[in-house]
Amino acid sequence: MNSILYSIYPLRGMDLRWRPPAVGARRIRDMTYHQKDGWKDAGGFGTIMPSVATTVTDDLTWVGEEGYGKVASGSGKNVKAVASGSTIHPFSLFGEIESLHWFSQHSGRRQWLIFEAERDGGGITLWYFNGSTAGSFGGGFTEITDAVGDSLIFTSGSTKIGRRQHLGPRMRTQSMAWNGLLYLVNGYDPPLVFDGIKAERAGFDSGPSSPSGTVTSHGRCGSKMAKGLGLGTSWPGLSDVAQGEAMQQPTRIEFAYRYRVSFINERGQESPLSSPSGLITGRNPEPNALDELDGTGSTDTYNGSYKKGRKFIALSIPTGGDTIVARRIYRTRQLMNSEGELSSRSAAENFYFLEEIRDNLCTVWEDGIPDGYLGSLVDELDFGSWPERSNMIAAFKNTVFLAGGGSTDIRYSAPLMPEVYPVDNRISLGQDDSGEITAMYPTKNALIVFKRSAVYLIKGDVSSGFAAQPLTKNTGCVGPDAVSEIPGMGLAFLGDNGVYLLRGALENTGTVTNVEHLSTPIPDYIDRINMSAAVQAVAITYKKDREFWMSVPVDGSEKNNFVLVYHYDVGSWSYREDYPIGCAITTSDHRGYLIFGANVSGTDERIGLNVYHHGAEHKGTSSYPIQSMYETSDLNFGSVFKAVAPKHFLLNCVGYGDGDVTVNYTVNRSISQARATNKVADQQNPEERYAVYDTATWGSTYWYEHRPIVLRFDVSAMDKPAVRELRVTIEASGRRIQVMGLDVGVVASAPTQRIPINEILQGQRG
Amino acid sequence: MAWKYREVELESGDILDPNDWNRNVVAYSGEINGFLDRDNMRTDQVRVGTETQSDKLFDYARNGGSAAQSLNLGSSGWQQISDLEMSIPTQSDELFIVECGLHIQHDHYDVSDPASGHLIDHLHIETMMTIDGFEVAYGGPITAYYTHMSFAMFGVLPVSAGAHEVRVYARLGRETYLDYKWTTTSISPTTGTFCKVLSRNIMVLRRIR
Repeated sequence: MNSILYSIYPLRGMDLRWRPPAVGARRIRDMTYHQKDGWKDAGGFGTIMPSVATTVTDDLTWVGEEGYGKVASGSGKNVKAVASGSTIHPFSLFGEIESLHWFSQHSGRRQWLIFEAERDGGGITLWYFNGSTAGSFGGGFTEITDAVGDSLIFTSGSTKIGRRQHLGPRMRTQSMAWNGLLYLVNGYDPPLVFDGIKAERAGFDSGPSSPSGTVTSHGRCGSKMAKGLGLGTSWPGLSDVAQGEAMQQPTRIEFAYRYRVSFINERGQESPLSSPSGLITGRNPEPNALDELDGTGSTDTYNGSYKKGRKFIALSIPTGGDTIVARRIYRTRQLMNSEGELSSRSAAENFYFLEEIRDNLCTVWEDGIPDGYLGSLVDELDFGSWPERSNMIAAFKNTVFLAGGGSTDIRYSAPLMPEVYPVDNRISLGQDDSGEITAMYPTKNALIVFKRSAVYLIKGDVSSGFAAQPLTKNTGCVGPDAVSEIPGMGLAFLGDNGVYLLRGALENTGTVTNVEHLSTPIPDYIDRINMSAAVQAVAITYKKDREFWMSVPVDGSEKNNFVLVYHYDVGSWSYREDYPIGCAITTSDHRGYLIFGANVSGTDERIGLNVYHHGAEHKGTSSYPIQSMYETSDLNFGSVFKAVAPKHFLLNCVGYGDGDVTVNYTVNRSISQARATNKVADQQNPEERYAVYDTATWGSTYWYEHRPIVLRFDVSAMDKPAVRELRVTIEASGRRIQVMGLDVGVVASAPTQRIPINEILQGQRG
Repeated sequence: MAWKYREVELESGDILDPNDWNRNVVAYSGEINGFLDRDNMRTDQVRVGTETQSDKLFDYARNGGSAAQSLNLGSSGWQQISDLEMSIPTQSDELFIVECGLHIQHDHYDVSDPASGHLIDHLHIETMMTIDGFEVAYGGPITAYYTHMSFAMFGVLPVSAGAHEVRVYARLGRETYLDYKWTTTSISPTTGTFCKVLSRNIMVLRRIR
């Protein structure tokens, strides 16, 4: 009896449903979808910089902060053994990578890879990758310091206190790039801003202390800072009075003012205003006696110490910390009326811009500026300190949004002022019990805010204001890093019930906004996710291979140890194991690398920063090889035939050389495969074999090119029960494989007539 | 972080596809051709040296004389002015700013007819100042309407470390108007006719790096 050849082409992704609607795969491991419509071996990863060669000749070596070398017995040093002639891992002293950030300056010409980790027990702090020092022990990274070059780690005796780190599943430090700066928040430590040279506190936690002042004549106080012509009105001079007239007391020789001060940091951000000063009153000098000019034409001289002119107010202004570069002074208008009484209480609450002191040094400033030279009225509600305990940050429509710290409020900054948070700039999302805010993600026309069980869209802009509208309360996101955008599709995120896709969320784009369940074909893998630790799940889009990665903890693990990969060109899922992704980024340049920080430490060779690429020979170490496998779904021949007998498989693959392809198969979903040993064939056209590396000779062998080939595997299931379902497993024994399709040759028995019941009962409905 | 990584892992038994080979090479050459930055330059590839700062920012040299120097009326070439030559050694790059002044006297008799008492209006005098042979200033030509004439020249030239020569020259000539144009010819000296350089001085202001 002739066999029938059933073609499985093209090969698609995993679908674990009992009866998948289309022929797909049961398992796809360590493979990637190639744009030539084939499944090829995935890449691996390795540390971003090479290990350091040692010169030690003994097996006992101290590896510590100061370098490495032979340790003397009884030295008390913390010994870490390094075998003679070996190499030292460049991250050998680092612990788990807490967070990872990437940003660039100068339109992408200067790039920064910043990570947060602890080195040699010295406290968690921030570092940046420094390729110019790589290759030597302790090189390849530089610690980020503050404005004066000191470490961000606080040292008290032998105790070092770095940034906060909570053990167990936790939200990692979040960051946002803004105008060549990187803002970092974690909800515990003060927010930081890194400008490429130093890191310093972002924003303000309060305003300065209120100023105080005394009335003085110009130049008396010893300050070199004086401005203006004097306050109030002065008595006229002798030349101003006609002969015979009496000196008239002018109005407003008395004056009263109040002041407020704010700080300006080097990024031009202004702190909240200080409390107003007390009322500072003064009176311009008058003659000791009012003399009249006599008619003789001679002028009288006044007694006493009359000095014509106006007085000043010597204002004591506070100085700020290292980040402060200027102070702004605000003042009321003249509060005394012509009767020498306070004009109104409300006037005492209106402050106008007076002066900007462009330093952080002087402590006294003399004010003699008349009211006509005051600037605009200031509203203290336009300023505000950085919201406490914010651990999520995003930029949208020239505004920075902060969330977290246990609050369901979103605070947003003044436009184009990322460190100024007016008190009234808040959006409350506390009208339901959908949990705390877990993530924020800016898109074209909306800032998407996730709660554990809800999704909100914040829309609007600076001129019209911002408002939140709920999108759904049926699902949310588990963590701030579990969100990533899939080009051409939407925003993918991990919810409690799987991976979802938010389509639309845009205005006037013709796309309906809705939430789709993307992980429908892979329920078994979703069930394995440890949702209690999923707060640290990491979603990343790797554009080079057109993949969406979701790194999650599975099987009860508290750390991410499994990667679900969505190949968005074909809408297919696969998975990868042994990826210790604690945090990850993709570089937003032409290189487009995926770099992740490992959540392992100690002697694990995968510690530190790793880069994923197709030139890697394994996953960090030879202990974790790349094991590419494509396993078809269970082909349900029993839906058509009573039984079949498989005869051969024709595998359509790319001829990579002498590396073997192995094939095995499972019958009727048996727990074990049909063959004890795999069928093996090398990836060469048997009719025309190409030369390969290690046997080819320069000058005599030709270059070839990869081409599709067909490999035949003769199989048999005679020792098995009647075959109704057949599953084929294809693996690579070496590194490289690419499969495009599979033809299954079977000998089938009599067909079974199978009619959908709907077609019969439909006509019987009343 | 401007590093690139291998694109393809080549192993024993792989077919000799040049595309695999080229992908790895292109990954490297692509960065060489325009995307190198500080991460690609090791710190030991840049050696920071020191340059000793000069102990002063400027200096000067001067020379001069007043003894009369007779110029050769029979020569139509450049004649060096004595007492104005200078040899100046420099330790680093400098800028020479040279100023020179000359007082020239001549008798005003016609070279062809000294007894006529006519002004020698066809005689002219040119001057030139050079640094290391480069002409940095030129004066004249001035026709001999006056018995006493003065020349002032000013020239600038950057020089490198080394020894440098500063010279001043004068040249005499007679112009004949023929065919509606002036032509310079040599002077035919007669007894009693003279042209002398009297007081003269030169100063070189040295601007040091």
